[in-house]
This record gives sequence, structure tokens and C-alpha cells, in this order.
Amino acid sequence: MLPADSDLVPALLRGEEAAFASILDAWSGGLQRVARSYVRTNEIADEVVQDTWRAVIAGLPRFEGRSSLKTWIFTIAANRARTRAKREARAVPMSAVGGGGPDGGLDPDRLRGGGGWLVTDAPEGIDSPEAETIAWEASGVVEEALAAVPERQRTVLLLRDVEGLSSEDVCNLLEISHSNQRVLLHRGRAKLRSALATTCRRCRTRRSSHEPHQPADAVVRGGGRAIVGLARR
Amino acid sequence: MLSCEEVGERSSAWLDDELGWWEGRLVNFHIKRCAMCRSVYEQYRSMKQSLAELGEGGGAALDPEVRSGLMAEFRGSVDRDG
Ligand SMILES: [Zn+2]
Repeated sequence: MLPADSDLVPALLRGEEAAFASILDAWSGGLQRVARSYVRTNEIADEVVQDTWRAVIAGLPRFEGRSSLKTWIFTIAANRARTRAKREARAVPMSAVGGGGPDGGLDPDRLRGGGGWLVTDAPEGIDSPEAETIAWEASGVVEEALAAVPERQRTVLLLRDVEGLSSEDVCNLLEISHSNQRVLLHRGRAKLRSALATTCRRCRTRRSSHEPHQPADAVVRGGGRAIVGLARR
Repeated sequence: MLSCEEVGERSSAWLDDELGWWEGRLVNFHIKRCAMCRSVYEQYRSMKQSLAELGEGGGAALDPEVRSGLMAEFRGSVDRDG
């Protein structure tokens, strides 16, 4: 847990390295995810993150605290990523982009194809309302499914549900209205849910073929991180 | 009673506890009686939870070289300003 802004900001302004290290470690991953929702490759997203931190270092003395520190930093990243994405789009002919949907999102099929999931379809009936528990491993699967969510919806989803920013902050950050933000969040969640349902059917299939003794409704094994079960009761 | 579709439209606000008292009652009433909406809501809830866990996990760590470069820049900026 990071200290509150009221402690953090003065510490940063005093030049305390531990304070800077703590936000560097706490937020770089989230900044990378948000940047990645705009730009095409992880490498470009990494550059955006790096540029963002440089801008933060340079701009800290002028930080006025009108928003939280986190929102301020994520706003810098989002603006930079947006600018960068526009530049890339001009530089690269559309045919070379490959896999980008009309909304600029990644093609989920392309990701799934190489993602190690068994491509066999699950038997019919698994998706019925009273079907047993379906589950996904939190590591990887959710992130993979996020790629199926269109860009603007995904950005809102990342900022609200992953980074935990308030709707107020997200509206200011993306310069969108409250109702627009609500619609994007709602659609993004709906899209992610259906993407997860598809992915899950595949991981169930994979599991049952590798682990024949596993009970059908088991919420399966921890690969280090928590397993999230979609209990359908 | 709200229809399943109307409940679906309110699922996001319900999830964030943003529905008014009366609308919250209506959704609650429906969800208690409708297995399908209940299971959809459960999925949304665990999805939101795993997204939050994704955020708590931090994500990809900064490349060590980049990290130490940024730390040096931070030190440098303090020396300059202070
Ligand atoms: Zn219903």
C-alpha cells in the first residue's frame, strides 16, 4: 500500500528516492497496460511509460494536486499514448497493421490461436444457466480476454476496474461525459464477460483432456495466482 | 417487475452500487427470483474482482535498466532544483 498523497507528494518534492521508487514499482505495470490499450506493441507501450516517468520527474514541482497524483500520472500516460498511436497510424500503412480491428483493438482470435488453448470446441450445453462452475486462471486469461474489448471501452475498464480510479477521475482524464463513461464501462464489461465465457470453455476443454480425474465442477489449481471461479448457482 | 433486459442494462450500475434505493430494490427483487440474471450478475462480480486483482498484482515490472535510469534522473532533478 502506498501512503496517501498528502504524505507522498511532499516526500517526492523533498527528493526522497524511496518515495519515487514506490510509485515507480506500484504504477508502472498499470501505466503499461493503459498505454498498451492505445498503441500496437509492448515495446511502444514501454517507451510511453518511460516518457511518462520522465515527464513526471520534470513536472513534479508544478503538480498542483487538483487531481490525485495517480490520476495526474495516468493522464500524462494516456495523452502520450494517444499522441503516439496517432503518429504510428500515420506512419504505418493500414495493411501492415494486421490484426487491428476497426476500433484498433487486437484481434482476439489471433491471440487465442497462439495462446496454447486447445482449439476444440466444448460440448454443447455447457453455457446453459444451470451449468456447473466455470473457471479461469486469473493470470493471463483475463488479460488475454481484455484484448477482445474495443479500445475506448478497454481504456475505461482498465482505469475503473483495474486501476480503481473514480468515475469522476476517468471522465476528466479521458475528457468524456459521465453518461459516455457509463456506457463505455457497461459495454466493456459486457464484452469482457462474453470474451471470458468463450475463453473459459476452451480452458475447460483443455483441462479435462489433460486431467481426466478432475471433477467437472472443480475450480482448478493455482499456478501461483488466485483462480477466479464463475459460480453458477 | 423489471424484465431481464432492464436488469441487464442496470447490471453495471448495480455492480458499482450506483443505483438509487428504489431501483436497487427492483433489481434485487428480480435477481432473487431469476436464476439467469443471478448467474450473469455473479459473473460480473467475479470478473470485477479479478480485474481488481490484476491491478493489485501490479503487472509487468519495469526493466531493471530503465528503472535505475529513471531513479538516476529523479536524483538529478532534485540536485538541480534543490
Ligand atoms: Zn432475469
